[in-house]
Amino acid sequence: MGNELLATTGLTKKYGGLTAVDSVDFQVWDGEVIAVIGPNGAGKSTLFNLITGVIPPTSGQITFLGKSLVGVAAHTVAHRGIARTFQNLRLFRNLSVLENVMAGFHAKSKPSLSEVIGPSHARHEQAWKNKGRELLAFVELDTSQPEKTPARNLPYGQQRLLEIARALATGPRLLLLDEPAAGLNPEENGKLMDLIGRIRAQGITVMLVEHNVELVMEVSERVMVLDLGRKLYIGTPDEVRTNPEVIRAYLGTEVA
Amino acid sequence: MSRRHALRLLIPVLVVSLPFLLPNNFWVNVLNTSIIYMILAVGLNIAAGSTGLFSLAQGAFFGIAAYAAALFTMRLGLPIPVGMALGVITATLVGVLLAIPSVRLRGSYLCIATLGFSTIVFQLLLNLDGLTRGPMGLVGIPQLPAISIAGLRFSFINKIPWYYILVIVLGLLIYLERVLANSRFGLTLRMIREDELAAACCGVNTFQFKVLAFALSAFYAGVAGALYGFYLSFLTPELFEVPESIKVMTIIIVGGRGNILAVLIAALLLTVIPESLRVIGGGSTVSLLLYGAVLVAVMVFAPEGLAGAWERMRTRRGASQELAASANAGD
Repeated sequence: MGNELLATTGLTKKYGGLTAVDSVDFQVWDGEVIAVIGPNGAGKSTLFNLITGVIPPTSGQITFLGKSLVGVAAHTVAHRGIARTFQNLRLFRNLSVLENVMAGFHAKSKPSLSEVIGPSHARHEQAWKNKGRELLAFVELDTSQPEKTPARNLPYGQQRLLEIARALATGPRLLLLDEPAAGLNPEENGKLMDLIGRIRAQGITVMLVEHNVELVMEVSERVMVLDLGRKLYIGTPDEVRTNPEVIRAYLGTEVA
Repeated sequence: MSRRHALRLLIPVLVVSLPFLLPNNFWVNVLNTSIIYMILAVGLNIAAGSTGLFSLAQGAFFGIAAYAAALFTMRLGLPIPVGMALGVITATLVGVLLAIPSVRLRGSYLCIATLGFSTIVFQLLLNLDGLTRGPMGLVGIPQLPAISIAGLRFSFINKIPWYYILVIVLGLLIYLERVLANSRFGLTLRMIREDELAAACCGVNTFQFKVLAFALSAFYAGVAGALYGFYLSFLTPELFEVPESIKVMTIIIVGGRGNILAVLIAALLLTVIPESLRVIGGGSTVSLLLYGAVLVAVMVFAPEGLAGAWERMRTRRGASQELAASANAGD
């Protein structure tokens, strides 16, 4: 087990009378792959939105690399080293495939005035494009003309990969994947598992929300189970598989 | 390929000789006015086309710069170029001040807020008569001093030397817009247009970049305005009434947002058509009716503007050629 990368204490999000996330405490260790599972409405996506600063918590603490993330804007969270994908894909649909990857570079370095209108702006652009192509190759997204093809024209599975490439372009320490396998066929699923392994090998910590239990058990070292916004259990895949409370609440027939 | 080369040669020749091909000064004036609108539209395209901020304040920034440049020159006795620069700076700063509260609004809400701003600016130009002389207008704006090139003297009472100044300024501003659009800065603006939340999660301070885009648009309007007063040598508030802002937005929508060439063509058409109709006759009512009909037709038949219609025509032709080719190959 590595050092603590992310931790929450008493993290709570209420919408009127509904408590979407209910005093959740957990830690993410540097370098691990951790999954969050739970039935629909368990608060998994809300948890991601809280961590990435998309919505503010009602109460509780979030710390990342020792600093609080509460009240920190989404773009600053990205600069601090947390990247994410979205459950319902939020690509820049009308921008090219390559532009979608390059979009992620913004977190690493903002376009400076001299880079944009200086005499060597063309060379800078080329360097960024090359980095973008490298990332497309890393996630194994093969498309003939990434500079011309709009993202919306990619097949669904490749759109998922593109969103991961964009998140990686921000140079994250922690990558949050919100249902990365949703809508993928078995072959794409296998490729996704390989990709998660390669991302981890780069020293990037991965936290994923996923319904595909098989994938979760395969790739993650620890699994947190959420139910009705509360943390039900956290442990290794084997522990989770055999925990009676978890089986009753969620896994049920799928593992039995 | 050679046809493209010929075009590349033909366009500069046409641009240089255009004012001499026109029958009289009236048409040179129409042409110059259309260049002013091109500058306004290219500028608005940064906020509206690239970033998705639909502002109806472009005419107001245009007016602020025009009055500011003229007043700095006339009241403070500053040299004309200094007055022009101060006019541009004033419009840009007001752009930043307006952007700070209003870029939080999206879509039609931003339209309404900026429409309100345009109304305020028009009312101020009209009613601050101690400063602007109100409805009587600001007259006697000084002429640019004549310049001599290779022993030839060019006076700016004539509209033709103005044409070249305006074309050069337009060219520089289009070049700047293109460099920005093709850079990572331009990409950042397009990210905001496509999906603001995803842009934020990529590390973009969306508020900061929206204010920047808005200010850049105001800067372009400022340049157009700073030149306009000295070009006309008089200013009245009616020149900057709310319909002016709507006209600039119309140019962008008819052109097809994002496509600069189409925006330029739309600016030319939407300035030349009303003037031609006025000359052909029927008075301003008929000309406005026809103008409105053209707009309705464009929106019905080419909702994505001229650029969209051209693109569709090309892909259709391309597709039918491919079809023919594959049919031939099948034989």
